Amino acid sequence: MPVTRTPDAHWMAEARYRGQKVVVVSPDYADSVKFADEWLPAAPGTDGALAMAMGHVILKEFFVDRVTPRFVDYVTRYTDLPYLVTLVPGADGALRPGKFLTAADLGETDREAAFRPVVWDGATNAAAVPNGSLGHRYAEAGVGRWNLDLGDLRPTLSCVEGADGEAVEVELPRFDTTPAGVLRRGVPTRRVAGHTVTTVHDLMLAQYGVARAGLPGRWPSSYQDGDEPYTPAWQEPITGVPAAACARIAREFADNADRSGGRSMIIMGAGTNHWFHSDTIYRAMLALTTLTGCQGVNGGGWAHYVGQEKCRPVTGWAQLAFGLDWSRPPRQMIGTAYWYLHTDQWRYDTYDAGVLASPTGDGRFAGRHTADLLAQSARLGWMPSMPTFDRNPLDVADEALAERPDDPASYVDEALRGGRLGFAGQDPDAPENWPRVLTVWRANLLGSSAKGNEYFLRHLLGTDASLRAAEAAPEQRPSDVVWRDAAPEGKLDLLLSLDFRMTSTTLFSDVVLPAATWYEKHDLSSTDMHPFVHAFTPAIAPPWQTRTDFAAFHALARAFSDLAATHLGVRKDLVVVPLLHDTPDALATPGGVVRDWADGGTMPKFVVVERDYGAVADKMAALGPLLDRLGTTTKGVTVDVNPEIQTLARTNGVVDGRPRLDTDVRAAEAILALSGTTNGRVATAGFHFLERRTGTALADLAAEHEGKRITFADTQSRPVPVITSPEWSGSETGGRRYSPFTINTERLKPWHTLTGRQHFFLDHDWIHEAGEALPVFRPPLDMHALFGEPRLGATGELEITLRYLTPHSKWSIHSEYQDNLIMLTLSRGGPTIWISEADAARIRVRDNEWVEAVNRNGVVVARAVVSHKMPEGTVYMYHAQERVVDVPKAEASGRRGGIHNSLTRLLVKPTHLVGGYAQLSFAFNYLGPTGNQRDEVTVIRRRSQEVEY
Amino acid sequence: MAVDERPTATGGAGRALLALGGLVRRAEVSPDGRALYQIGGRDADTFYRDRWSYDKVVRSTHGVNCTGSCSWKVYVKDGIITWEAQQTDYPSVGPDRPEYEPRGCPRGAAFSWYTYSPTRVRYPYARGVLVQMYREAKARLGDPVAAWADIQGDPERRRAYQRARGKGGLVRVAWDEALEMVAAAHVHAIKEYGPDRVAGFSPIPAMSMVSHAAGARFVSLIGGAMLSFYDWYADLPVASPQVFGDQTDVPESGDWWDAAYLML
Repeated sequence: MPVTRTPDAHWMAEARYRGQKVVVVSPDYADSVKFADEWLPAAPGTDGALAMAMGHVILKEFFVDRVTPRFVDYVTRYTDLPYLVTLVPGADGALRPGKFLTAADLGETDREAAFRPVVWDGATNAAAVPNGSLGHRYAEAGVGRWNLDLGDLRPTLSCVEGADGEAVEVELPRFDTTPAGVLRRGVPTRRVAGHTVTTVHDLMLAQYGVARAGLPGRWPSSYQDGDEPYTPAWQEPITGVPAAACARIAREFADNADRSGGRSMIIMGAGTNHWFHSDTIYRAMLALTTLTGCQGVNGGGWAHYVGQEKCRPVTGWAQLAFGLDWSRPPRQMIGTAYWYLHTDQWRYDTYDAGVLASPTGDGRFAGRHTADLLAQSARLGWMPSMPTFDRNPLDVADEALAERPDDPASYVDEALRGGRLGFAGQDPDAPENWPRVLTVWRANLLGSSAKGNEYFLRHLLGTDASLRAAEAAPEQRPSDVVWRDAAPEGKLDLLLSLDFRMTSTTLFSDVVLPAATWYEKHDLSSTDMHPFVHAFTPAIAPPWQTRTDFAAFHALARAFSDLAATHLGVRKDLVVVPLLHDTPDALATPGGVVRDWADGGTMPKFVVVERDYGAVADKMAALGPLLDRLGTTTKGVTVDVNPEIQTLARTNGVVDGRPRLDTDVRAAEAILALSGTTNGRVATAGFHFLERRTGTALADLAAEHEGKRITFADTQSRPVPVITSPEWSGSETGGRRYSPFTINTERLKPWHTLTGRQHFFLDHDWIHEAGEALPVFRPPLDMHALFGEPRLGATGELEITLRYLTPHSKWSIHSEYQDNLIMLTLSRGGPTIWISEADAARIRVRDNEWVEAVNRNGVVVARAVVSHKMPEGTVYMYHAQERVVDVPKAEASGRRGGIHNSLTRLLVKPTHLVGGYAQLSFAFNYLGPTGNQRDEVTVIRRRSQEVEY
Repeated sequence: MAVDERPTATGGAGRALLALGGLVRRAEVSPDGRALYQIGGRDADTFYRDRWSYDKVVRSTHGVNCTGSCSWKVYVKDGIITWEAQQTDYPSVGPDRPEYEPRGCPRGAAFSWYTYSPTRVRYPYARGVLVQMYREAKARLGDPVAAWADIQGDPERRRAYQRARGKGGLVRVAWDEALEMVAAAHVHAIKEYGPDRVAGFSPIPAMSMVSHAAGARFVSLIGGAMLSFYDWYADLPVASPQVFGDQTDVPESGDWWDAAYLML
């Protein structure tokens, strides 16, 4: 917190004077620990175990031993805990959680019935369908009913009261053992419409091991029972946190939430979020804030901070960025899958995706390579894939239009099913399927985010690399993806970067364009941590031959258009679109039951878009006419913005009748005018749109600012508070501090999920296969088992195998500032690796001596910082220490270079590829596989202290 | 004073100008023109007065994917950025709670170093071996796209400049030539393989929305693919779409004050 949220950390210190208790969970003696009342030093990657045990305590003490009215009321209204879930027999006949019981199971036959889950109503003692589910969101019958108003319904949390079913044992997976095991615990059931069902609440108690009288199965005997998950004693050997401390903090957290009306908060970020299984860690932590009624409450809930994620004027930005004013849809790709395929990291996956599966699954991952699962995800339209086809989409469009002018999409559909057209992702190493031109700006891909740096260098760029890994053996290779014996080296024709400083990315680029700095241009900034927008303003004009990114891209567009007018002309382009979140596409997969094409499975959508290649520069510089007709749509809220277009025509001036976007200031004005957070009319109109669907009052939230327009000049004069808008879930109305989901809890607007409530339970087939239908503890990946790395703690002659973590540092923001002379004087002045005193002693390394870290992915050389703050068994190499300062040659490779990401690589988690189903549907930067890197290990050794450069 | 010392016309003129400047200073100037001697008392204070004097103050911020988004005063003297300091005029967070200011950290306070630093990219650069190939092919074929296609069509030349990546050899080129080469590469890729073989990577629109949108707009209008960053950075908590159906929505830091119990 003090390191990465420096200017905001004061609030934590100040709140402590107000009586706030601060508990820090961190493997090292982090800077934040010194602010803490208590420190729980959980081992790296085990936060999920700690959170599961805290959940056990909260469920036992606040839901079972004593019923806490506030919590019960909250989870009944705002979560899926009362919803009914079917129990279905597995192959061996044992029962397992199945799917949400829906209106379709009750005999309703409309298309949305499978998206209206069911509860048991205690008032009428019958199954009932509450308002507010996905099935109410788009259907005509759902108008005015997409809300969380339960009316006279009294959903029962448990099947215990008055149920006609017997208590049965269900099988639930556990992953704390090797191999993964199965828990058998009982739940009360009911019979509804021929199904044996229980509630999510009852499944949660079984999962967490909270016993109730009369239920079969094996249960923990007490908090001191260390064998049965998920007790405080069970987590102690995993995390290192004493059981008593775990139980006491959980109790305090929940008790405080009860007495303060939900003002218990958990701040979380990259430390827990960068693991392969971090979604399970987060779900275990979110269970704590949700069970205790803290989400949607000021001062409570999750507080996830990673980067400057929140583009508050999101609608205006999106129109300009994706050219939605000229043509739709744009092409958007999931970054991790792109790099996984095109840097050929997939070729080095030597494990079967089945090793990640649950013993309670049906084996659908077994024998499949992750690249196969990725191909299936693309084929079914779950996730985008780029390049998309094994042919030029301009030619595909021509062919489809020639063959079927009225319905080119159906032609493409048939060509794909018939095998006449293929996906590029099924043969990513074929030259026609390589990415060819990549432009990087405002980013330092190769110095900061490129997990698997050496794979990037070898395969994408085709230059020297220190990669040491072996490719998959024949029996480990994909079955649906073509394996070419010679791995390509040098896929990109052109790497272009724009930057104001020399970075690892510019050093590998073919062309580098000199950029203006943040003191040399007009622009806009916003964050998630502050509800204001403010401006960049040039203090000086861009010096030497530097240009703003805005000017550079407009110049490039002009150069491109001049050449393209003759070489490309006007073409039709076949754009492939995945099934999108916040659209009716989310209804594509009833029940989350996966069917491939042969069984009538889903397809992506195919849309023909016209490209007038000679006109690109002109289009860049004007607001296009498509906006007049289609308006803007953000998170399912559509607004007619003709008033704003007319205003922009007058304030920005026009070119060929359209508002000008030919300067950075005019672009900024358009972003502000088209967004609800910065234009009260747009916010109010958006809320009116929502009100028609929810039937609840919302527009008053923005009414106080309906006439307010934030202009660029306003943002230059000082940071300007934003307006409450349906683009986000919280309210700033009346000067209130921003907390998410307050509009959901206070105005009964549904969450954008299947039930419309916050979900503990996920019933998609692939989630079941992973054993993650409920919150669960999954430990860090075993790199010895997966890739043959040495076991943790293994020692050789002056070398030791340790966990390799890359957290964020005090001396840089990502790679920025780490090469800044002033910041270098405040640190060691070059790359460092932090190591505990004990581990350093084992390999006879003294402080500031050179060490070398080596694993299959590459090698990096750095000076050791031997520190008592480090726990044994783990080293830190702070993220984004680049190859530009004090990087000697490595002994292992004989090459100069190697950065923090030389030791990392991508590992794609299959469940992140799920799409086309309720909240598990793709949207850009909303859902996709994470580029996680925390599970890595490395060998560290003392090296020759004579270094060469 | 930023003076280009390389043996070019600018560099030479710069040196001459610097020497001329030495003549009008009311102090002794070292032979290399880089040091100024002012001895004693109030005279020596001039160094500090000059160092911290300014003509104007301009408000800006840093676009570095930092959640701070602090507002800064940038000081300018004679058209040169001299230093920066924290702004303090944030909107109030309301009564009975601590306000925003002061905001900023040593990293932000060090930013202006980059403006005139040795690491500053001042001119367009291109890989020397590629520039040679391109000029040769263009002279022979007359057309930028044909020239680019000619290089790409020859595996030896293509691999030659690819293998040079990361090994130095960047040379200065004019903006027009750099843009022409880049534009030709785009046209060639679209024509030969398709627009979806072109990609743009630029993360975090919030850290400079206009700069992001300008490039993304170009990539999108030609049919290229913009690559996601939030999931790629592993910053996307996939649990958020799973649990909330929402990308990520979180409290502002001012709301920490409202918490009675805080776990990190």
